[in-house]
Amino acid sequence: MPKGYLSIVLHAHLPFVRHPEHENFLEENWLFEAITETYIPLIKVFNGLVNDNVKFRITMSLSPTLISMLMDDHLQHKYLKHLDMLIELAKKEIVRTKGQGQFNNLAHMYHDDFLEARRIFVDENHMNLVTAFKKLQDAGRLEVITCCATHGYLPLMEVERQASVRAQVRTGVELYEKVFGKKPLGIWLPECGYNPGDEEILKQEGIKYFFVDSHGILFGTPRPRFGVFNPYLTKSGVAALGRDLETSKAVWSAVEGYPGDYNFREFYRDIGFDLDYDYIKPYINADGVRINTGIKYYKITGTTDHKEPYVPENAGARAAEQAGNFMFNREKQIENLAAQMGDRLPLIVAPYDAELFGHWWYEGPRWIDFLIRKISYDQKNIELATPGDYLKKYKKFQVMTPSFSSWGYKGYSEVWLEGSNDWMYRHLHKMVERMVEAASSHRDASGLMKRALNQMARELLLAQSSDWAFIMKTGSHVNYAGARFTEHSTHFSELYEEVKTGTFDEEYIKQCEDKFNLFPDIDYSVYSS
Amino acid sequence: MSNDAAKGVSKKEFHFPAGYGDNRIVALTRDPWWLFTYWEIRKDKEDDTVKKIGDAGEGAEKWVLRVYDVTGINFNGRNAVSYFDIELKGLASNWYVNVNSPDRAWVIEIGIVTKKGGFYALARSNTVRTPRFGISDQLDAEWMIPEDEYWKMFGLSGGFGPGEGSLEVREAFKKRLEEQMSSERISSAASFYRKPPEKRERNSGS
Repeated sequence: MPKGYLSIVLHAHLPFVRHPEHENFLEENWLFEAITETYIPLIKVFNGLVNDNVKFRITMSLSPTLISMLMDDHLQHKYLKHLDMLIELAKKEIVRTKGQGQFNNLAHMYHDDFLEARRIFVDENHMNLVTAFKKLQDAGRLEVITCCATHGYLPLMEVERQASVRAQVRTGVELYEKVFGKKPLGIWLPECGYNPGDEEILKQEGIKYFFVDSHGILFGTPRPRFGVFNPYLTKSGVAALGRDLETSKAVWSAVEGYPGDYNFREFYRDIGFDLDYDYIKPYINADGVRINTGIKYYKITGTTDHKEPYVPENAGARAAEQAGNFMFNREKQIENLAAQMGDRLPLIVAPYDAELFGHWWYEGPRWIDFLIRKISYDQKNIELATPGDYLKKYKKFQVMTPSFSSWGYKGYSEVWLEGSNDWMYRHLHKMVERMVEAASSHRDASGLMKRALNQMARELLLAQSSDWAFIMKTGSHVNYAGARFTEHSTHFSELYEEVKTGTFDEEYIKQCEDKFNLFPDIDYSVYSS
Repeated sequence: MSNDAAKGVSKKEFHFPAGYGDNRIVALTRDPWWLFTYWEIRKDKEDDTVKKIGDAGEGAEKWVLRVYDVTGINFNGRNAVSYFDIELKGLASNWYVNVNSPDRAWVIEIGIVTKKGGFYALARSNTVRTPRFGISDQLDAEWMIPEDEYWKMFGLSGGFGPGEGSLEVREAFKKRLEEQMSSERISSAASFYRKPPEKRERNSGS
């Protein structure tokens, strides 16, 4: 009998980026990098555990845009081409680094890893990685949950809130059902953005639980009895789980976080930037802009620019130590909680952005592997459990309304609502008003009218992706985010005019459908009032 | 290829309209202390109102946002708990409003204050709430524990050890939210939207 439970939740998401009109497109690399560095390594770790008969339970949310891209034929073929290019580059690197000791070892490592990625992608999964996650769910190892259709940030959907939130949730739920053959138990609210009352819609769409940040629970009403260490039932009956800050800090913290270890691979020293331009040119962006290739030879080393070669064995040893440290701290945490928990055992909820593991923190997937094995073999106090597992263990939970919150900077909506992106909301709100109006005045549409309305729904959902506002605030790629927001707004408004006037340009509708082809089964009537 | 703009399928060049011909004001909650509001006022509505003010033997003095605290009431335009005005200058069409007061409900009107101090609204917003920043005083009889046990629980939940009381926990939490979450990493898929390496220092954003 364990003394407490640990829920590791990996939230996997990328915005829908698919440009069939270009042979190469810079932002499509987000998906390709994530596949090579995060999704395939995680699949490999999980399958390794299954093969070794290690029991584990992990929760993973796959955003509907990510699922749509992973299942898209065009992107699958582009990825394969990308991977073959990496294999070729790694081969060249083996030759180039001949006689250079550790660099040459690393070139071999990358070559092997890319070949292995190809085997997992092509041979094991026939180019569709979603099947790997489904198999792991069917094997009782993963609890895959859903997310909002396009990762729309719900708290700012103030105008036509019911319709906006419902469409985001229902579209995610329906895609999940189609792909996984059952209803999702849980949902990852994009950026943990929670607005009190939205849980009623989750309930109507069949969702059993969602996550909020720590203060969402702690500042909830009435006062929560168990802090963040237990689920609470909202009045709707849907459970809310709060993020544990200690586990969060161990991984995220810039100062003390595990990924900052000096033995770990340096993210910023990629041969796409480091090597001679003419040599690397065929492997970077087609317009000649240097980008990350994924081949990186250095470890973090220290705080200065001086970097030493990466040694995977040393990094692996550190990841194992850190996994041990993490486990030890959880045991201690559970011990400290034991006296406070009354009739139940504590649940520690540790959610992370999945792409952190592998993409940003190269050793992350190995850390998870070590952690799961250690939890399984080296101790008896903690057990891995999904929220679905834990909710079955007890009959009663405290009823509580969480507080408006997100896991973004300062805990609320400031990231997605500030000088760089606040201009978007008057247009987004207008679009959803028009969507509701058009859907309500054309019930049971057919033919071109129906196609135009459904495409309007897709374009609206895509315009609502939280990614555009986030990129405008913090990152590079700002022009791309702006262009995408504008493009969806354009399509939406042109289709709206067609619907209003009843004069359709079939070729135009088709072009929009072909370009933004996700959610093929969408039903615009989700917006009817 | 160029990342700025995909090849569009649209027929004509698109520009976001300066307005939609609406007469409205919309309020959004940003956090426990701030609201955001945007508006669009139709010229005819504004002209009518100015005329009405003139007909009443009055003159328009200034355009304001009137921010009403409507906590616990069914707002009818006259029964607010309190209100304050923000004078609008220039061509603003949105505003960040520092209400500086968590756990309250708000309505914003945009309108004209007359020389004699009258107020003529041009549009009224939706009602929004600022969330409480702190622990609820409302206790659940079924799940009661002694007061100091709550603080222990909150301290453990916040990752800063057993707290001593409401104020300490709130302060510790505020600090935690700003420090630990100040990382731009805490956002989904954020590692893809990094600035180029030469512009960044190691660990500044990890």
